[in-house]
Parts: sequence; structure tokens; C-alpha cells
Amino acid sequence: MALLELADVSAAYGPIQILHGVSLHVDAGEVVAVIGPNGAGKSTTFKVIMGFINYLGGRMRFDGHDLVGQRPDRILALGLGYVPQGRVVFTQMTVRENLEMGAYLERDKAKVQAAMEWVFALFPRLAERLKQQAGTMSGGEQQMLAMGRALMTRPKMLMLDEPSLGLSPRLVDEVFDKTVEMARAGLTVMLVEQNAARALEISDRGYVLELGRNRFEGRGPDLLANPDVRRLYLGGAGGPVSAAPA
Amino acid sequence: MSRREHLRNLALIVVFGLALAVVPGTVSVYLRSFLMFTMMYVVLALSWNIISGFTGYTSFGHVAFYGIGAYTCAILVADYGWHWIPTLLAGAVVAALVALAIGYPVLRLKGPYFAIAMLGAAEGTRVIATVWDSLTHGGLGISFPNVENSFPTYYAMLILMVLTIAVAYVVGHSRFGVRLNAIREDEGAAEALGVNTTLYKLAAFGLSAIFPAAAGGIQAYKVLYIDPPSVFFVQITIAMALMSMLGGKGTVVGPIVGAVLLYTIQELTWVNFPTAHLIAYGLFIIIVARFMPRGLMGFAIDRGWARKGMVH
Amino acid sequence: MGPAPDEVILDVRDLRKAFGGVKAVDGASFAVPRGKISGLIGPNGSGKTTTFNLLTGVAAPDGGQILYNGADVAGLRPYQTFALGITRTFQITRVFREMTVLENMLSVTGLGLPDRVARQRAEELIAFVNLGHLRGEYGGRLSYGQQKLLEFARALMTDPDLVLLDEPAAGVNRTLLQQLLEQIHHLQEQGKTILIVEHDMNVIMNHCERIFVLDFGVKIAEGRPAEIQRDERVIEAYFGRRRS
Repeated sequence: MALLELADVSAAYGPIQILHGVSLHVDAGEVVAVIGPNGAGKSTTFKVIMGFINYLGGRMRFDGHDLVGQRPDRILALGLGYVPQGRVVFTQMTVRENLEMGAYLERDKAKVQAAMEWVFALFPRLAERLKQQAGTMSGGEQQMLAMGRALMTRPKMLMLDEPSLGLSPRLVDEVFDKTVEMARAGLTVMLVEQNAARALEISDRGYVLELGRNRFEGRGPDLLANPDVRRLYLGGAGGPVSAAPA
Repeated sequence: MSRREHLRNLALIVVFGLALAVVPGTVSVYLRSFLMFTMMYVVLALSWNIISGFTGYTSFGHVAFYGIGAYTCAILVADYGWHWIPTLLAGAVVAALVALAIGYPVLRLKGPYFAIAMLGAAEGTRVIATVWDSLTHGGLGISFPNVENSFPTYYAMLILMVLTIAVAYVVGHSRFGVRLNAIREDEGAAEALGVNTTLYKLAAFGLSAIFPAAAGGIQAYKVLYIDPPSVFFVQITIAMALMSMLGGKGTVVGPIVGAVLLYTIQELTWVNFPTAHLIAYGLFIIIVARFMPRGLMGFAIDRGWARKGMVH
Repeated sequence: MGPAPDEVILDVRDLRKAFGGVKAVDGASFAVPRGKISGLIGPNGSGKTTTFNLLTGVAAPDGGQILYNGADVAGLRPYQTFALGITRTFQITRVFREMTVLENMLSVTGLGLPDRVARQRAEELIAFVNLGHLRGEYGGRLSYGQQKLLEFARALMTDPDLVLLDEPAAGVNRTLLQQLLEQIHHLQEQGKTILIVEHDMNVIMNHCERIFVLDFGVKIAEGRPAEIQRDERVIEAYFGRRRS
């Protein structure tokens, strides 16, 4: 049974429908990428899973539990971690405080400490900067902190929303390296990425969305080599809309 | 709105003005004073509305201009022997200059920052009036030579009110007013449509300063004595703002209705519930804020009793 | 060989803008041809939005020139570029919500027209975008699509020469988009120049004669749609490059 399963899911932002019956699944231990051109609905997929936006229909299950209508904190408690787009950290708080916020749901102090140790093992740089104010960190470090914070709940699966956004090429390397490291440590990862090539490079499988619908799916390397996938990004696959006025 | 509608409205204003003109001889001193205060608040609320309602820059310091007008009149009459009427004009000019001077830096601030800066400006003028005693007699205040002026000041206020209404009307129904509203709605978009927002804001601010100044001058002359706390009275600013908001910011009729209604209610509650009048007054404001946030005019427009928009 | 000088309405030369230490626009240069519909595209972070803001006067460049009909308009405020004949629309509509449709139209300055004529022009444009029946309604009460149309009509009040459209397809359904595109072509036939910044590739590829592609703050390609779609650098910019 898949760890995460979406079947025919539709979602909207207020009156504007973004997802039109999207289906995908993630098996335990996999790294799955969701890619597609702008407006494809990639980030929206995460948002409907987390319950942030208007769900319109379809099946969503995680680890055997139904996700539909659940509150975000409940979903986190089920073992789903989420790193939103844009390196969202509490800028006025220290690294330690940010991490502690990540473990907000956990009452047991020992478990919180254990989680923090685990995060330090994956992100040694965070251990070095415990007292630093998050707002003063570089973009790459903030992205690490955001990921570390999401890991504080010891999730079974981590959803990464555009981890490379706004980062320089070198930092993008680091972030993807860390993602591979986390996957090797047993974490199931689903990532939404605009940098399709890099995402597919590290993924077992991928889904290509366009305008809120499934277009392609397959193994990472296969999608990487498929020229139709690239053409999607520049509107080559769509038919010409009439240019002549009425 | 057609020519005819505009003329009809202006005729209404004139009739209204004439009605108020024949009143004073026939009523008690108290009522005369009451009417004069009401007219003053109409002037203040309409003026406040020009910068805060139309342009959207909520000023919490408009009393500064009222005070400047009062002091200009007092100083020129008591110390320089001017006749009081030209001092009203002088006060308006001084207030306009001060408005342009403070406006230039302060109108760059947004929303709450502007409001607080204006609060500071009002306090600042009060302090200057207290401290610059060589000019203003400081805390001692200024006394006018005693004179019977109940009727002249009433008529002066009446004329000022009619003038203020006329100007507010013209501004409100002109393309100038439309652009002020545009600045309130979305300053960036207004700029993208060619509106030199700095210039327009300054113009609105200056315009909103001159009538309160004249009102301050008239009041000073009526009461025959002023000192800093009595003219730089923060309650005046609160009253102007509330009246304008109650009636409906951003309209012409709104502030007029709001001023009349609120001042009348204030007086009635003070007379009938001298101990609890502030509570009653406060309750009334809460009810309006809860059920009619866009003021009485907003309520009327939603019901279809008045048209949407000012320019048709 | 580039286009002749009088065939270029907007000549952007070596434009630069940095925020903090980040070079958002790093020497972008391109020449927008007069009387045609052109597109400005680029992936997220390409500097496309910043460039657009520099062209519309929302921000002032750190360096470079923006020559409009030969005159440098770099650093001018929006109301000044507006007076010169450049208008723009916004990605998320910015109509004046508590003002009527007609008032929205009349808020535009610099018409130099008496009231009656201005009003007539406003009515014509409102009719052009099929919003006539809503002329007395508050801007904020219009549907999103109607707001887009209003903003479009409003930008045309001064009969501008150059119209800059900021993601006109954003949040718009297919039918309305088709309507907007027809109107855009109509304008181009009247001799106006249109520059569209867009993410929607179908709009760009099917309606622009010339396309400029930005990435990392500079122009990486320019040409006709078919050329751009085949350009390896452009594909890489959007799809990403494998780790070297």
C-alpha cells in the first residue's frame, strides 16, 4: 500500500479551480518529484494535502488515514512533514527556538531532545548556530533550518515545496545533496520543484503536471530523457490558439 | 449628475443657509450658541473629510489648524489692533502654509504612521503656543477687548459653513475629487494613471486646513479669551473624525449629517444625563461602528436610497 | 543586424538593479519593436518582474538606460512615464474598489479633455470591454474577470502608444482570456505597441511576434516563438540544468 495516495483530487483558491482531478502516489522509502510549468498546480497539491485550501473532491490518504477535512496539526501528527515554499523561518527567533517550534506538538521533553539530536546529525551546521537569530542567516542556511524544523516531528514523509527557489546554484547543490541524505536515512520524500532537471536527477519517480492535470509520469531518469516533458515548459505541446480577432 | 442636479443641490444649500440666517433673532441665546457650534462642527467634519475621507490620510491632528486660526485671530486683534474679519483670512493663510510645510514630509507616511505623526504635530503646535510666549502670551492666554459679538460671529460661522459646503461639494463632484479618492483606494495604481500623488495630497491637505483655521478664529473672537489647552483640545479632533465617519467618509452629505446628528446627540445626552452622558455617547458610537461601518451614507447607498459614487 | 532606430519604441540598454547584495537585473538589454506585440518571459527569479517594475517606474534602476522614442525615461516616476504615453496594467487587479466603474475611468489624468468629452471616451471604452451595464457599480463588486477588463479599459483612456501588460492571463478563465487577447490584437492593429510579461506560455507563443527571454537578470535569447521554443538555453532556463 502506498504511503501517500491522491486519487482524482480537485482543489481551488477561492473561486479559481487549480487542480482538476490529480492522481499520484508515493511509496515508503521513495523520492518522488512533482514538476511542471508555472501554473501547473504543483504547490497547490501540497496545500490541498495539508488542508490549507478549498478541497473540491477526490481521495487523499496517508498511511491508511483519510486526510480529507483534517486540520493541519492533525495531519502533522499523522507523520507528514511539510516545508513550505520560501524558507519560512521565525526570523526573530534563534535556531534552537525555531527547532523547538517545530516540535510544538510533542510534550515529552526527552523526545524533543532526541529529535533535535537527529536533526543535528543531518544538519551539523545548525548545531553550530543554535543561538543565532534565524533572520541573520543566509538563504541556504534558512532553507536547512526550515527543513530541520519540519523534521522535528520525526515524520514518515517529508513534503518539500520548491526547496531550490531563490538559491544560488551552489546552494541548490547543497539542498539537493541534503535531500538525498535524508532519503538515505530512511525518510520518504516528495518534492515539488521548478528546477525539473535537478529534481528528476535525485528522484525515483516523478509526476509532470500541467494546468492542474496529470500529463506524464514515470521513473526519474525516463522523464529526464523524455523530450516531450521539456517541450511542455515552453508551450510547445499545446495547440495554437487562434490569433485572429473575431 | 446633470447641470440641473448640481444647481438644485447648490440651491438647497443656499436655502438651508438662508433658513439658518433668519433664525438667530428669534431664539434663545443658548439655542443660538448651539446652532453656532453645530455649524462649526459641520465645517470641521467636512474639512477633515477632504484629507481623511476623500484622500484616505486619516489625520489625528487637525485641531492644530483650528488652534492656529484661533491664535492668529487673537494675536492680530489683541496685540495689533486688527479688525477681526481679516484675521480669519490671515489665519487661513497661515494654516495653509503650515499644512504645506508639515505635509511635505508627513504625507509620505502611510496609514497609522501618518495619523500618529499628525497627533504629534497637533501636540507640537500646542506646546509652541505655550512656550513661545512672546508671541502667544503662553499659558496666560490672550484676552480680547470685550465686545457684543454674538450675532456677527454667528453670521460669520454661517457664511463659513456655506463656503465650506460649497467647496466640499465642488471637490467631491469633480475629477480632482475622483483622483483624491483614487489615492485613497490605491496610491500606486493612481500614480500609474498619471496622478502626481504628492501634489494632490498636498493640495487636499492645504485645503483641509483653511476652513478649520477660520472656524478657530471665529470661535476665539466669540469666546473673547483663548489659551493653549482650550483651543488645542484633542476632543475636537476626535469629534471631527467621528462625525465624518458616522455620516460617511468620502461623501459630501455624510460629514454634514454626521456633525449635526452627533453634536445634537452629544448635547442632548449632556443635558439629560449629565453624569452618564459620556457613556451614552460612547454606546451610540459603538452601535454605529458595529452596524453601520461605512456610516449613514454607506447604509443609505446599500439600501439604494443614494447613488453609488460621486461623479456620474 | 538590429531593427532601425525609428522601428524601436523602447530601447532598454544594460539595465541594472540590485536589492541588498542580490543582482536582480544585471545588464539586461533588448529593443521593443514599434507597433507589434512582444513578450518578456523568464523563469522565476529571472529578473523579469524587476525589469518590468523598472520599465514602469515603480523602481529606479541602478544603471543603464530605458530609451522611449529616444528619450531616457529611466528613474522617472509612474505618473511621469504615463504622461509620456506608457501605460500599464497590474498582475493582480488594482481597480479602485469603492469607486464606480465610471469613476475608475475618469481618475486618469492628462487627458486634456473637457469633462463631457472625457466622459464620452470613458463610456466608449467601457462599452468596448462590455462593461456598460456596470458603469455605476463599485469596482470592488465586479467579478475578477470584469475587474481585469476594467483595468484594461482604464489603461487605454489616454490612447497610449505603449501598453505594458503584467501577466494579463493570471487568474483568468479561457473565455475571458480569449476576449482580452482579441482586444489586444485590436489595439495592435490600431498601431499601438504591446509588451506582455507572462508565465502562460500558450499566450506568449501564440500571440507575440517577438519574445525576449531573461534569466539571471540578463537577456539569454530573443526571437520569434518557434525559434525560442527550440532554443536550448531557454529550455534549460525553464526546465533546469542537470548537475555538472
